[in-house]
Amino acid sequence: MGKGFKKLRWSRYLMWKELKLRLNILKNNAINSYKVQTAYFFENVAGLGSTLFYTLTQLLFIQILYGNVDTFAGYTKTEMLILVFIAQFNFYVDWLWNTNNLNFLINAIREGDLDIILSRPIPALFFVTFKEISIVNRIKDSLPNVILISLFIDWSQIHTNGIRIVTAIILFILGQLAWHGFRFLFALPTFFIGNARQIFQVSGALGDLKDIPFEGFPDKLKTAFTTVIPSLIAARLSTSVLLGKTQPLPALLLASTVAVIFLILKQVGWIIALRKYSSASS
Amino acid sequence: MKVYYDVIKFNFKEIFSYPSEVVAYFIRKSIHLGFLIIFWVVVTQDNGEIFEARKTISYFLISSAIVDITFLNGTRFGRRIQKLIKRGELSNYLLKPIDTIKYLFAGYIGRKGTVAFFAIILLTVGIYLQPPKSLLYLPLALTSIILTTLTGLGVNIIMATVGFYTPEAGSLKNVFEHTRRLLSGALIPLSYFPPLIKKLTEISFFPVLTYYPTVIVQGTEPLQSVLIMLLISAGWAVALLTLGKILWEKALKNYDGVGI
Repeated sequence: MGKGFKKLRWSRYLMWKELKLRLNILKNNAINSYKVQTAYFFENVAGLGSTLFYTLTQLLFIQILYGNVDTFAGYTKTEMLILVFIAQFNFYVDWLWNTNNLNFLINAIREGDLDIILSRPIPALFFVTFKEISIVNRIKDSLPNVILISLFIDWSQIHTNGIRIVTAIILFILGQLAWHGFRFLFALPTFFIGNARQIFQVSGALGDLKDIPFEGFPDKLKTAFTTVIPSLIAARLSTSVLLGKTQPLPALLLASTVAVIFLILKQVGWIIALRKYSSASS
Repeated sequence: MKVYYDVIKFNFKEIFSYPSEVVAYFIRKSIHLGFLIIFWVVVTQDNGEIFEARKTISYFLISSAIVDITFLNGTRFGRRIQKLIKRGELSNYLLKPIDTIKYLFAGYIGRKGTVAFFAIILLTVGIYLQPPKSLLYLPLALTSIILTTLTGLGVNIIMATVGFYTPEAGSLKNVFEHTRRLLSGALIPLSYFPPLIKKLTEISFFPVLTYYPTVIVQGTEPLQSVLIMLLISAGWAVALLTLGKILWEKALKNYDGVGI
């Protein structure tokens, strides 16, 4: 009994140590990202200007589109603005932790920096997943834009409830995780063929959904883009659930399964890629 | 001229060092177009009386092809020069007994060979879906595409000169790109714009970059309108290329690059 208790305490200590190490990595990466990104003042201001311009052109596009049509895939102008609002938020969250870090991984493999990371006594996969966490910059870039979009939404026309809101938030998180796992798999060919930038960009193209609502996709594509290519979950499916166009429970079950599968595939892919990795210095 | 032709050939061959990347590019472009077509199919399904499916899809195939065939996509040529300036690598080209812009543009065209190839396929499909009313439109379309290329080159040179004054010019390019995509008619044809916004847009050079060449290739506009569009395009091409040349030379005079 005493031995078992000691073993339990020991494993808890190890777990706590691992968690502390990961939190430290997160903290240091966030501080480092902040310092790097704020070093270029003009670029920061212009970056905000760029995203603001993007939002303005999006709003103008919707204005022009709905100046000619009443509904689009069953979405009214207000519902479409909700979709744009969530899609923009999805973009900024993805930019905060996903795409930037996958680009970092690709460059690290190509330029030999991964050798240095692998030789350090740190969890390498965790480190490369969260190498760049620019919280302050992403808040700075995203906040004015999402506020701007929200000002154009007639909130009184949105009919939803607490269950749908909570489900939409969970779907959003699960969608982000699944999408990360999916795109990670597309970064791995760099281990095998050196230059795989276009292959990685193929995965990005699969997420560039041109503001098409979930309901706009034919049934077969809906299935494909929520399972094997999970790009519809984070913004489109969550918006659909939020607006009461899709049942919450089946969506939640589907998204959970897909997210878990892609996170497992990410781990397996990483192990296989490292086995094949011949390193830049060898 | 042979030098620049060789540069195009060399850079074109270089991209085939990674054939999987060429295939991936074609897949990526097809996906991008696939979503664009789905978007407009959905729009036309509900609103067939406003947007005609065949004509709209043809418009987007042709406009997408024109953006690629005129090497405008992403103002990447200008951005490439900005990066050369930032890294101090432009000096390598300035020291050579060549015309720097022509040399760099030739290299850029070579590297974008696959882009142009894919664009020609799209253009053909677009024309097949919406053939022009008369064969007379073909030389006019060709003239329009050449004028758009020159206008785009002028815009890219102006964008490149920003790199001489600030090394942090990437976001400025993005601001221009977002504006271009909407106001040039690459996102939605100008004919669907509200009258006031359409008039304001037509004062600028943006329609020359996509809308004018697209509708001229489609051959849906009356001949008189096409001639006016060509005249406007020629005016903007001359104006922007001249401005680009002046700004480039002025910036070069003040340039303290490595080895200069």
